[in-house]
Amino acid sequence: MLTFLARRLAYSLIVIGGVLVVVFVTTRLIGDPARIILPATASQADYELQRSRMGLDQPILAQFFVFVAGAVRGDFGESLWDRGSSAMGLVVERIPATLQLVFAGVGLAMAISIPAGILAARRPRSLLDRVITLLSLAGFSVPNFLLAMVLIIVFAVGLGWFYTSGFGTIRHLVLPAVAVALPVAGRMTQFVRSTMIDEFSRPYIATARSKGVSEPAIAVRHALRNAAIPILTLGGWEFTRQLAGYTVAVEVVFAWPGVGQLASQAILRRDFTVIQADVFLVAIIVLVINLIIDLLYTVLDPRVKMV
Amino acid sequence: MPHWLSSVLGELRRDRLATAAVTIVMTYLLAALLAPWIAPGDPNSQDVVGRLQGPFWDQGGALAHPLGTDALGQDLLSRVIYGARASLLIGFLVVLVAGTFGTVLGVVAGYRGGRTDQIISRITDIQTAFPGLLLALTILAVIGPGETNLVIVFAINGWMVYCRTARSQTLSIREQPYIEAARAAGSRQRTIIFGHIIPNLASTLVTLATLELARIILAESVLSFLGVGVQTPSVSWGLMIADAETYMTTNPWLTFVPGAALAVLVLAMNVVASWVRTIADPVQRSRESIARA
Repeated sequence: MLTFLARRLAYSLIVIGGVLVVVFVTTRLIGDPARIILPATASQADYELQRSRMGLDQPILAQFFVFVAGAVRGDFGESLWDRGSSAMGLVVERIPATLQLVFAGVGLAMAISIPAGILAARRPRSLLDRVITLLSLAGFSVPNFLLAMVLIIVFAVGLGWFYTSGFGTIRHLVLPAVAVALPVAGRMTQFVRSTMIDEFSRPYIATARSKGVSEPAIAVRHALRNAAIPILTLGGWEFTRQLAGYTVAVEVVFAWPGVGQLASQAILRRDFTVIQADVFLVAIIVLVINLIIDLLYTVLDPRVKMV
Repeated sequence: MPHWLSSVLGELRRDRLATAAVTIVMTYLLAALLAPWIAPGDPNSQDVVGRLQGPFWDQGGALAHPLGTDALGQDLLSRVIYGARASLLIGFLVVLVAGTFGTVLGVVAGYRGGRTDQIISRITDIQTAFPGLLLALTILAVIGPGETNLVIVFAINGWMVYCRTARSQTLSIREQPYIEAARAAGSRQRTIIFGHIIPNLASTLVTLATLELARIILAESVLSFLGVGVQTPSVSWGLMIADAETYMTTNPWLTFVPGAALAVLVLAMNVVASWVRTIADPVQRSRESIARA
């Protein structure tokens, strides 16, 4: 158990290191932060001065160590756009809104996909299965930002049930959560369906049936129990995937004050310190959640060997 | 007609949904290829007087612009047709580059095993754990938007899934008697990989490539929507939807047209992929029939 944990931690550290290298190389070496800070009319002397003030005239390796030393402490410097605010501070402020959106979205997706997937798996290739399969394919064929706009047009502007944008109440949350949820629900329904089909074809189901266990009880108490771990694992992966950038466009459409909207603004403003902090923090959260999922997986399923 | 083609067509005839999906994908491909000849006009020719016209069946619509015009008076139908070009071209290029690279790495890892496998698998795992979409946004913000850069970023981001699939398939194919026979007969490693292993991966890879094509087209639309993807004067559905956002409440039509074009294509591709998977995978089929009994 301990070696497993140590191995997974070491692996996570390598990933974090990799993310830092990519972020450093793209924003520092390919991009030129000094140019971005200065107005277009700045002279060459101003430019040189700015470069040395930012430490950009140091050797690359030295710059990288300073960068990593800062990153470890969560210090990426101040925002290039919002001078005086720490880049990491801006990102941390935005985390709760994104977590709320992703929790609501993935939770809703699971609430839709588990019953839908079981219903479809009960009778493969029946009419109901075909309808559910087609709907789930449709779910992940529509990009979430388009879904977001259609939801706004129909339910906020047309019917006036919800707000078009903003944050705070349940009436703000419903539409963005649905926009995040439907594509996820589409993918998860397919997975629940195929996992449940596998379970339904196992001998123990035939045994249960021959004992006279009712069909709903077979589905929920027998098959779903055995399928629960892979389904929950997939739910966890969907959660981290949404965190790692998939909500950006939804946040932009709904003006949702999360890390995704911040990332999109920072990119358009070329606010590289905020981008660095954003990517770094999101990467860490994603890794921590994945680590927890892996650990739960080994705890919940005694068949999984910890290697 | 070669045997495999007639058997595929026979399968297709039995599944009406798949027939419809294949027809839709073919239509889009043709539209993209023939855009300059079939589009009613230049997708970028502006007409400020005739802006924001509805479709031809609407009041104020005209047959000159069958699907109406956008805020700059550009013909929506022409733009939708040209949009298919950008999406499909980017999608195919990415699938080609990432698919080739990932498959070769995966087959080599699976076939050689040992240290080679360990190194390749570790790199694949590590990159899979990266927050890909966020990094793609960051890289595009630095190197600049545009079609070429999109292809580069997507290819860098998308090879891992092919590598994993090709590796695990190769691991099981490697143990088959015919591979052993080829090895015993003195075939060279390259002949075994390209002549025996890769052809056996084909059906899996076709399914995967179709799914990936659909995924890349969606991702292209997201990045273009966010302003770091395809740029004017090129035409892309994501970009059209971004332009439509301002007019979302007054002219929702502008959102629906490119949105529908995008969703229908991606849905058709996903239907095709799931159909290919069921006809290519007899195990899946028999499981479904057991569960059904």
